[in-house]
Amino acid sequence: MKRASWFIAAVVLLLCLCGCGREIERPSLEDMAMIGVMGFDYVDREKIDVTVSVPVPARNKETTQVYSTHASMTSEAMLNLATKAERTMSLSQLRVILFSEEYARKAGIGKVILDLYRNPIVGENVYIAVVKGTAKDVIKGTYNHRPEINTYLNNLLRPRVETAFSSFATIHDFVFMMTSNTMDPTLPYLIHSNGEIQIFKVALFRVDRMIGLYSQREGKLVQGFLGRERLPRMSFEFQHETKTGKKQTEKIVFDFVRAQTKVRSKGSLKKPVISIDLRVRGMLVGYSGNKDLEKRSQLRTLVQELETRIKKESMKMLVRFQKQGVDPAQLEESIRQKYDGKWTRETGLALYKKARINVKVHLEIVGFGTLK
Amino acid sequence: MDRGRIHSLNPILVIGLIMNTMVGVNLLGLAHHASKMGYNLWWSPILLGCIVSLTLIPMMALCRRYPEDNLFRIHEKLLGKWLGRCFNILIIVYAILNVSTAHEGYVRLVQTSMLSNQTVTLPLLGLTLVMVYITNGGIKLIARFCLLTFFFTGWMIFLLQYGFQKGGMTHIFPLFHTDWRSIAETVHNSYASMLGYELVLFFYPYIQDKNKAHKHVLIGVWIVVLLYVMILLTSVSYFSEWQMDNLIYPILNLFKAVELSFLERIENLGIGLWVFLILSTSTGYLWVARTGLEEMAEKTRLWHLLVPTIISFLFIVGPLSVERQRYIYDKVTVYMAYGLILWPIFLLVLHSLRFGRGERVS
Amino acid sequence: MQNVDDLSSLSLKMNDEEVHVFFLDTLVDVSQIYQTVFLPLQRSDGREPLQVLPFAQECQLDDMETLMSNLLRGHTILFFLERNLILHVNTFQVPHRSITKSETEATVLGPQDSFVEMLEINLSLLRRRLATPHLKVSSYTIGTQAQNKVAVIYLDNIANAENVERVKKRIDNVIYHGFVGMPVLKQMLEDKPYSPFPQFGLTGRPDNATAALLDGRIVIMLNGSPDAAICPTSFLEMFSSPEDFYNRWSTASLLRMIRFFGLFITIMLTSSYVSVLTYHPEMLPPALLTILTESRSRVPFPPVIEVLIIELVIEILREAGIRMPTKIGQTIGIVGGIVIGTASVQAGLASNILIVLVSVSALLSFVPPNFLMSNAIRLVRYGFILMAGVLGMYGQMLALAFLFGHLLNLTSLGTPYMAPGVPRQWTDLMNSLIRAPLRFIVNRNRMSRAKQKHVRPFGED
Repeated sequence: MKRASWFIAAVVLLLCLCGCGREIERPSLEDMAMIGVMGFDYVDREKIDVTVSVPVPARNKETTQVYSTHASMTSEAMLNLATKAERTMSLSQLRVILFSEEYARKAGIGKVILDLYRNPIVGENVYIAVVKGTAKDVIKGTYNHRPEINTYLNNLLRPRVETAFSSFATIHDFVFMMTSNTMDPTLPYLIHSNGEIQIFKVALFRVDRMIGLYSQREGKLVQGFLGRERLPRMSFEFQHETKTGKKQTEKIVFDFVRAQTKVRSKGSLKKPVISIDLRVRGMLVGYSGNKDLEKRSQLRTLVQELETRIKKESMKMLVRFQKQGVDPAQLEESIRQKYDGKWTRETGLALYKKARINVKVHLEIVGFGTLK
Repeated sequence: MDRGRIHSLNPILVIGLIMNTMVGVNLLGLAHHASKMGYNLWWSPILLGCIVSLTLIPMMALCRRYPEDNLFRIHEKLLGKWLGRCFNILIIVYAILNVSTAHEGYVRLVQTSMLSNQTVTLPLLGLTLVMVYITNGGIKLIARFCLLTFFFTGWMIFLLQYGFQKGGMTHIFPLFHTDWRSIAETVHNSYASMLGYELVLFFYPYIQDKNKAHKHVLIGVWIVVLLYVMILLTSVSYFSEWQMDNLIYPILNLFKAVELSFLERIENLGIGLWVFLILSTSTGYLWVARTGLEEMAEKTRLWHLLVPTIISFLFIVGPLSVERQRYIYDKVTVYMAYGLILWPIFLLVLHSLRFGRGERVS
Repeated sequence: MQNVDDLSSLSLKMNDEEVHVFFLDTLVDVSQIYQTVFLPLQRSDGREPLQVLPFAQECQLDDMETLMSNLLRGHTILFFLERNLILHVNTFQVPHRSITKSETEATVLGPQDSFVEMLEINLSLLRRRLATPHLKVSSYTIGTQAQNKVAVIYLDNIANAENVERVKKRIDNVIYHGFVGMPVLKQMLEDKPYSPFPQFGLTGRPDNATAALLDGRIVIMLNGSPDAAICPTSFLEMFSSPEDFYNRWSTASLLRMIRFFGLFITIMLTSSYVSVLTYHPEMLPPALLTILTESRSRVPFPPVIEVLIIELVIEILREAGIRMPTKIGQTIGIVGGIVIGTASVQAGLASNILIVLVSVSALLSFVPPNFLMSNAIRLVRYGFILMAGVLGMYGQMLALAFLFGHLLNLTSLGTPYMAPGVPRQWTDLMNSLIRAPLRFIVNRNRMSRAKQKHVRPFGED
C-alpha cells in the first residue's frame, strides 16, 4: 500500500509537470530566427551599427533575412532586433562575426567579442574576420551561384590548407590571442568586390585594435612559425644567368607536406637571442626551369636556393615586425618560458625588440611529380 | 535480499566510491579556482593529493581502531552520549550543506548554459528526487552507481584532445615559477574539489577488505589527482592566464572546443552527463546525513532520508538570498570540511588517553 | 458430484461381484480404459483385483479428498462393493499440441523445437538433453482453486543450493487461486514486482533452458504453460539469444552489441529530437539544421506532442497487427506504415525526419530477444520523451541516471541485476556484451554462483 501510494504520488507529480504546458510551449526550432552572421560597423565612438542575417529555410530556395540596428552593446542590439523580427531571435547558431576595418581600427573589437564570449548560448567555434568597407555591404551583397550568405561565409572561413595563411580565429582564439600577453592577434581580412568575397590579407591587431595588414605570403611564414603543420603552397622565382649570359627565370611552386618549427630563446635576458629552426618537407608541384631534378647535385642546389630564399624572406619579415614592435608570430612565448618574474606585455615587447633573431631552415624535397 | 549483508563494498567499489564522491561540481570550476598560480596550476592537484594522503593517515588509523563503527558511533563511544550527539548533529549539517553545495552549483550552471529562461526549481526537483531514490538503496547502491558513473563519464577524458590539439604545451614553462603565497591561496581555493574522501570515515564499516582499505582509498585519490592534472594541463595549453582567471566554468569552454561533424556544441551533452557525477557526490553525503539520523534515533525510517533532502532542497530554493548561500557554500562548508578532516587527530589522541595505544575497540 | 456431465459411471461384473467404475471421460481415452481396465477385469477368472490390475493402487476408504483429486487428474476409480475396496488406475490420456517451432524466439540455426502446454512433455524435452541423474525436478501444487502443478528443475551438482532453497520458499509462499500461465506465476516470484523490467528470464525454447540449467540456473515450469522461467538472470542476458552460441563468435559479438546499443539508441533517439528542437538548436550542424527547420516548418504542434502522437500511432499499429489475422495484419502494417507516414508528413502533421527516427527506434525496440524486455524499453521511452520535453538534454540525462539507479537497485533472486557490468566480474565479460570464442569461456557465469566454477577442466588443449 505504501509503495502504491508513492507510485500514485509520483504519477500525479509527473502529470502536474506535464500540465504546466508553459514549459512545453517554448518556441521550438521553426519559431526561432537563428542568426548566422553578425556584422559590426562604426557609427561613432559610442554607437555600433549591428547587422545580422538569418537564413530562412524553404523547400527549394534558401533566402536570407537581414536586420540591422544601432546600439551601444551587442545585447542591447539583440533587444532592438528582437522587436523587428517575426520570430524569436537566437544567437545559438551564430557562426561568423564580421567587423568593418573602420570599427576595428577606431573602436576596438574587444568589447563586442567579450560580450559574446560571456553569453553561454554563443558557441566557441564562431569565426571572426575583418572586412574592407562595411560589414553591412558584405552581408547584404548578392553573390551569384553561391549558397546563401550564412553558409557561404561559414564555408569560406572554415580552416582549409589553401587559406591557412590567416589564423582562422574563433571567438576563443581571439580572446586567447588578445589576453595571452605573448602575441599580437591576427584575423583574416576580407575584401568584397564583383559579387565575390576573398580572404585577401591578414589584419594585425594590438590588443583589440587593428593596426595594420600583412600579405598572404608573410602570413604563410607567420603560420609556419606559429607551429602550423600544413602550410599552403608557396611559389618562388629565381633569376639565373646561364653560361651564355642569357637571363632565365626558374619558377617553383612548393607544396608543404609537413612543417615543423622550434622556437628557442637563448642568452641572457638583457640580450636575448631567438633562434628559429624551421624544418620543412614538401613536394614540388610546379617547376619551370632546366635543372635535372633526378641528379642529386642539381636537386641539392635547388634545395639550397630554396632554403636561403625562405630564410631571407623570413628574416626580412621578422626584422620588419621587430622594428614595428609587433609580434604576430608569438616569438615572445619563447622568451616567456625562460623569464623569471612577473611577465607583462610591456616586458615582453621590450625584450622582443632587443632580441637577435636567427632563422635556420632545413628543407627536404620528397617528390617532384612524375616528370623529371 | 541483497541489502542485508553489511560488509558489502569490495575493493573496486571502494575505489569507485572514493573517486566519484571527490569528482563533482567543483571540477567544473577547478581551473578557475586554482588560477592564482597562473600557468603553474597544473601541478597543484599533486600538492592537494599529498595533503589528502597525509590527512588520510589519522582517518584510517581511527577507522582501524573501530572497524565496525562509523564516525557517529565513534563519537558516542569516545565523547559520551550527549557531547557525541552534538558533534553528530554538526556532521549531519555538514553533509546536508554539501548536498546543497553540489546541487546549487550544478543547477545554476544548467540554468545558465542549457535551460536559459527557466527557474531552477524544476531541474532541482528532478535532481533531488533521483538522489533520494538512489540513496534509499543504501551505500551499496551508491557505490554501484559511482562505478557506473565512471563508465558513463570516463570517456569524456578523450574529448580533452580537442582542447589539447588547439593549444600549446609550452605554456607550462617556466616550471615552478610561483610563490608560497599564491600556492597557499590556490590550495585553499581548490581544496573543495578534493573533498569527498572524508566519507571513508562513515562507510569504513561496510568495506570487505579492511586491511587493504587504506591502499584502495589512496588509489582512488590518486586516480582523481591524475584526472585533475590531465584536465588542468589541457586547460593550461588551451587557455590564456586571463581566461582561466575570468572564466567561471572552464570545463564548459573546453567542451565547447569539441567539433564533431554530426553534432555541435557537445557541452550540452557533457554538462547533462555531469548529472551522474553530481548525483554520485550528493547521494554519498545524503547517505551520511541519513545514517547520522538513524544512529541518533536508533532505528530506520524513511523520514530520516526525507528530512535532510527537504532541508537541502529548501536551502537552495528557500528564502535565503543567493549571496548568502554562496557565502555558506564557499566558506562555511569548506571550513567545516577542514574541521572534519583534522578531527580524527583529536579523536585519536582522546582514544589513546582513554583506551591506550593501538587497541581495537569493537 | 453434481452437474459434472463428463463424469461417467458404469457398473460391471467381476467374478459375479459388482464393480462400480468412475472416470471423467474428458481426461481419459475410453478405448484405453477398455484395454487396461475392462478387459482384464472381465478375464479375471477368480483372481484378486490387485492381481488382475497390477497398476492399480488401493485407496483409503475414508480419504475422499485423495479420491477426488485423483479422479480430477484423469484416474479411473473402481469400487468393489462387497470387498469394501477402492482402487484407482492412472488412465490419464488427453490430446495435446504437437511440438512445433518457436514463434516468438525463432532462430535460423540450432534446434527448432519448443515447449508445449504439457509439463510432462516439457520435462521430457529437457531430460532428453540432459541425461544425468543430477537433473532434479521438484514438483509443487499451488493455486487454491486450480491446483496447478509447478516443477522446479535444476542440476543439483551445479546449481547453488541457497538459490534453490529461495525458489522453493517463494513458491511455498505463493497463495493465489490459480495460474493460467507462467508469466503470471513469474510476477509473483520476482524480487521487485513494481518494476517494469522482468527479473526472471522467460523462454519457450528447450535449448535455452538447458543452457541455463548447465550454467547452474534454476528453471521453473508450470503445467499448462509453454514457457519456462529462468532465475537468476541479469539485465545483459536479456539481450542474448541462444543463437549467439550457434553463430561464430565474431558475428555473435556484433549482433549482441547491436542489440545492446540499440537499447540506448531507442530510448535516446526520439527524446533527443525533442530536446534538441526545443532547447538546444545550437547542437545541429548547419546542414541538418536546414533540413530540420524545413520539415518542421508546417507542423502545428510543439515537438513533444508531435513525437508522442507518432510514437502512439506506431504503438497502435503494432497492437493492431498482433490482433488481426495474419493475412490482414500484414496489409494493415504496410498500409498503416506507408500511408499514415507519408500522409501525415504531407499533411504537415509530422516532420519526415521524425518519421524516420520513430521507425528506427521502433524497430530497435524489437531487437531484444526477450519480449518482456522490449516492452519495458518501449514504456521507458515515454518517460524519456516527457523528460526531454520538460528539461531538455538535462532531463534526458536525469532520466538516464534514474533508469540506471533503478536497474542497479534491482535483483534477480538476490543477485544483482546489472551483473556482470557493475558488480563486475572480468571472466563474465567474456560472455556479456561480446561473445568470446568458446575457448575463452572457461567459467560459469558468476551470478549463478554455481557449485562447480569451471565449465571444463583447465589445461585442456
